[in-house]
Amino acid sequence: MKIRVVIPSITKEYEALGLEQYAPGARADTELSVALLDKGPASIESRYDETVAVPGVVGRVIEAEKDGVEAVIIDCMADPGLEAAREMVSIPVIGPGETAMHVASMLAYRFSVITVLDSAAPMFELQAARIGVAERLASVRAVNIPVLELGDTERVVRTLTEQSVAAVKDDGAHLIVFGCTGMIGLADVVKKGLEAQGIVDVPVIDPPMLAVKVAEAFADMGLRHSKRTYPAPPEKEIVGY
Amino acid sequence: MKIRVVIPSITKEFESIGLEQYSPGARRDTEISVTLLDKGPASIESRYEETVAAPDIVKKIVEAEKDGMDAVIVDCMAEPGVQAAREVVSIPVIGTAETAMRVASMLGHRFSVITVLDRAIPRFERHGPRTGLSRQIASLRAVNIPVLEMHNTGRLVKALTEQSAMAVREDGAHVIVFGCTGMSGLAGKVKQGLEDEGITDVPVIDPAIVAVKVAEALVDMQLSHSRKTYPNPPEKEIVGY
Repeated sequence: MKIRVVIPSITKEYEALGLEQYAPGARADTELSVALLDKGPASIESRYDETVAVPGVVGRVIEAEKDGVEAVIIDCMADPGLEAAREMVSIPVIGPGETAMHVASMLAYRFSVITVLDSAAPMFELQAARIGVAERLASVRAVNIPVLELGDTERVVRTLTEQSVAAVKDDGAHLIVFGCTGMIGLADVVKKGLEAQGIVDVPVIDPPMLAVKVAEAFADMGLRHSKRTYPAPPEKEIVGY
Repeated sequence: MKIRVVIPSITKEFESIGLEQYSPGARRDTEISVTLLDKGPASIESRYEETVAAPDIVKKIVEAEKDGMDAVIVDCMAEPGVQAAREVVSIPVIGTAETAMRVASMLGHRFSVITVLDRAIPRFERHGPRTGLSRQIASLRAVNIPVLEMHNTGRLVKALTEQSAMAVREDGAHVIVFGCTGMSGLAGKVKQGLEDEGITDVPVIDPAIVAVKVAEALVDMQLSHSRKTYPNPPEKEIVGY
């Protein structure tokens, strides 16, 4: 099965990094490929970044379908371009944000999202409301490390663990969801960190890994988005795209 | 990976039927086993039957964990015993209704559930507020064929297709969800039936198969339910169990 990860960034290093980070989530018969943007931001940390990334993301999703890819993952918790892309293609387009929140609500009554910056909190609250799980969102916390500094794994793990502990103890979280796909691969080490502090009963969700599993499941079942919800746009003149 | 399907019925024929229905959903490296109840009803079509099935379902799930299973699926959309079982085992216990409804809301804006009997409809309405997906339910419809007569596949497919077409045309459904795990295996035929009536844009969800895929995904990721949401019951005297 072929899955394409669209990384909504122009940062070239993310190509090899993305491939390396997503690979452990894929089955032996799943072939992952990665696409970056030609135009757009280095990372997504604001609504503006999101808006200028979206046209490129949708373009990459359309290309993926033409390339014979069976499902696409948009590598950002803000799910930029998710709904627009679904209008333009028939293959499943998976948003790690939406997917992780649904699965979190299957596994626990209340969950907290630990994201990069405090400024991203309203986005998660709106996302939860959009998909109907607002009352399940215990809190949104941030490590306050910019996306482009997430390579400092030690610092990221330390603050992720700290914020996860606080979410459980102070906010009543029963489950932790990482709030940035750049935190991929850190679920085990954060879970161990929680356990070291006596919190043994809280699952930790790594949204991009989960997105791979859900993409595989949808492709296996031949399930695609409803074209009643995501009909193709009406034919008309559109300049520049 | 080992997945156990607990069929909440004492009907012996359901053992081989269950294995046949669930196997096409499983990966090659997934081993599906099936267990029936020793005590309980022939099928679940009422709250009373749900209640008398639940204790043995929980017992079978505890046994499944002891047998080294990686996940359990309860083969009934009423999800009898699912929440109780999560309190006493650590492996994922998959409820087919919640899982199908969440996947449906990932694939389309509104979905309809086509269940067996009209009397089951209030039960599905209750799943709405519980999962937070009330607003995504376009309608609940029934084929009005009892569970124990569903082996007449021709009649069932015809009724499912009729009700699905009405759900799309009259109720605004964008996705169809089967409302009984006994309808498993018919999604392809019903989708074809809809296409024959000119409805080409509506996915059809087979909750039994979705449950297998989600079970596989959770096991792959070593995710299970939060113990904070499903803590062990307090120690006390319980007679008869």
